[in-house]
Amino acid sequence: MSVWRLGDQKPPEPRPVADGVVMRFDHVYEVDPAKMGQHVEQQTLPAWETTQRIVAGREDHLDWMHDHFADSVLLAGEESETETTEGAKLLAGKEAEDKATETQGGQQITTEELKNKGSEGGLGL
Amino acid sequence: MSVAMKSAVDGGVIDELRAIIGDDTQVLPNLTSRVNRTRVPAPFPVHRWADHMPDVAVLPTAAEQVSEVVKLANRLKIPVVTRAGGTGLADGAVPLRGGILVDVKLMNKIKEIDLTDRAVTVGPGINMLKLNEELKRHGVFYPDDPASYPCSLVGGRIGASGFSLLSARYGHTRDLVMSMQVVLPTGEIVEVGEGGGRKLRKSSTGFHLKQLFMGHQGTLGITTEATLELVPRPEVEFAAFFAFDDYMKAYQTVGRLTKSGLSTIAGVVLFDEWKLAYLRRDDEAYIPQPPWVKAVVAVAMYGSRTELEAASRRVMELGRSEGGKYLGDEISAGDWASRHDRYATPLHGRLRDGQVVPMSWHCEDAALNYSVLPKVREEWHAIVDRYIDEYGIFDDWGMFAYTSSAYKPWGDYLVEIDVGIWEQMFNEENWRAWVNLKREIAEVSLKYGGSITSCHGATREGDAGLVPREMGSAWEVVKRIKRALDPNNVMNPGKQSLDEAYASTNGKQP
Repeated sequence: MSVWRLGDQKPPEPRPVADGVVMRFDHVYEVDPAKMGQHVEQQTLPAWETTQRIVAGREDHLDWMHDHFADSVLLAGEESETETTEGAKLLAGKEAEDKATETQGGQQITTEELKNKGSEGGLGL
Repeated sequence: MSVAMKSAVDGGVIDELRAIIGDDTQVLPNLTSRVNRTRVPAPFPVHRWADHMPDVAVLPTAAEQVSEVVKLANRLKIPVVTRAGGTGLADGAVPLRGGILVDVKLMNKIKEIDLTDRAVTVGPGINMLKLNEELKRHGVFYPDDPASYPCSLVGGRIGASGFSLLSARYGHTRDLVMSMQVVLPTGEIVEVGEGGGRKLRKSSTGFHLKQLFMGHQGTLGITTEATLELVPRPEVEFAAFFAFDDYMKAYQTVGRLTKSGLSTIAGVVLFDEWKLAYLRRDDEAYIPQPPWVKAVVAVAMYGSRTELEAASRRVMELGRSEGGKYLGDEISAGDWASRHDRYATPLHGRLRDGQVVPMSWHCEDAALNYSVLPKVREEWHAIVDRYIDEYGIFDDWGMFAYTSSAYKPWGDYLVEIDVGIWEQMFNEENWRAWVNLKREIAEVSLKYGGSITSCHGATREGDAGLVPREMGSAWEVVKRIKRALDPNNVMNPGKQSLDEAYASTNGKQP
């Protein structure tokens, strides 16, 4: 049985992570609400809406795309050489956790494994 | 140029269309059906919506029905506009003079899969994603890969002669279509291919008519069937993204990658400084990047495991050869996957003061050689910047350059500048400003020896007027072909300056 607790759906308070960007959940960036006051009305989303419908849906979509184009994905097996901003620092704990489970050096994973690993894909054009 | 014809769709025409189609639910004169088939994702004159509505939409299921519809249109001199997915980034599927809109979405069947001679025959209404879902079980793949992969249709790809992200490995739509069945503007049904073969890749018999019916934007006929190339389903995909502190270092890296001789390279993409600035404010993959990241190079390869394991190591060396920093596995794999579907993006832009506004997406494209990319980039951005200052409804979303040669990564590039437009603010003055912005960008492409479009088609106000200049001495031939095949100017009239073919009648029917 799934349980829906209304109290769990209140998103955490946003914290600034870059110029004009805030973050409530790890890896989920939002435009600073101060920039959305005049021409766009910002909605308050329940936590489920963000973490499940939007984020999990996006990950499913990217996995689906991978699966359409090849049987497996070859990765270089290397971490980013660039991420140093506040946002990246905030995620450092999670990254360290991920690193412990990854194999170094060129590795090949199936699209199913990639889904389990999680992949980051852009939203901008 | 004056209006070529005034639409003459009345109750009698609707009755004739119903008799041809044989199912009243597939003849749609109601307002909702027409409104839904009026515009495409590209910026649209919302203040003049009714100017572009068709008078009736029909959804045929067979070439014979299309043929009869076109014959009716010819008899009564009614415009015919074809629409597939309606995902075009120019106005190919947007009616300029009302008329009958032929929506091919119900012609979406797979008619034959030939695994021996490696060909699949389909109707024009099938989508590449759906086609590949079926092909996957056979171990083959149709590798036409636009940024609208999940939503564009084969017929539209043919009509626009679309660009494929994987062209360096597999070619573009024009290279992947072996033959077609086409309903001509006078209603005859013809087969065009390499010579007389339906599944041949090369012939020296007669004229090469197939390419004539590629990218005509619905002005020369309606494709009702196509036989397409099948390639082995790739065993492995590899993508790597590299960050640079300077655009020219990224540009040089693109040159190294494309001349590397690695035959599994499917595409290389160059993101410029404006693109990084745009992505850093709104894209979760780039927001965390530090300020020194000014440009990005992405490379993707497809092939067997044996090929790609070796080639990927070379790509990692070349990507770093001018100081590039690897962006990591997550962004490389994830961002590349998202490149197949750029239509799922929430579109908003910023005003100069940083305020968010809803914006639609204008993607102005061009075909340009490698040597001119840096200079064109500067001039395009300067144009957009000027219009942002003057009108306050535009936003510069940066530029991409994609490798665009077929079966090789060097030489040509599809170059795009993405411009956000606050469409709700369109009035006639702002609309004219956008048309002029577009024309200025296209003129830069011509100045540097390029083509004003590599992907979307020159069918919009602004660049459509430049088609005769680009075609040069061949323009007279183009007009003769148009007039010979479409004597009554019924096929998508008003597009690509082709009304000039009827200049002696002032654009009207002879």
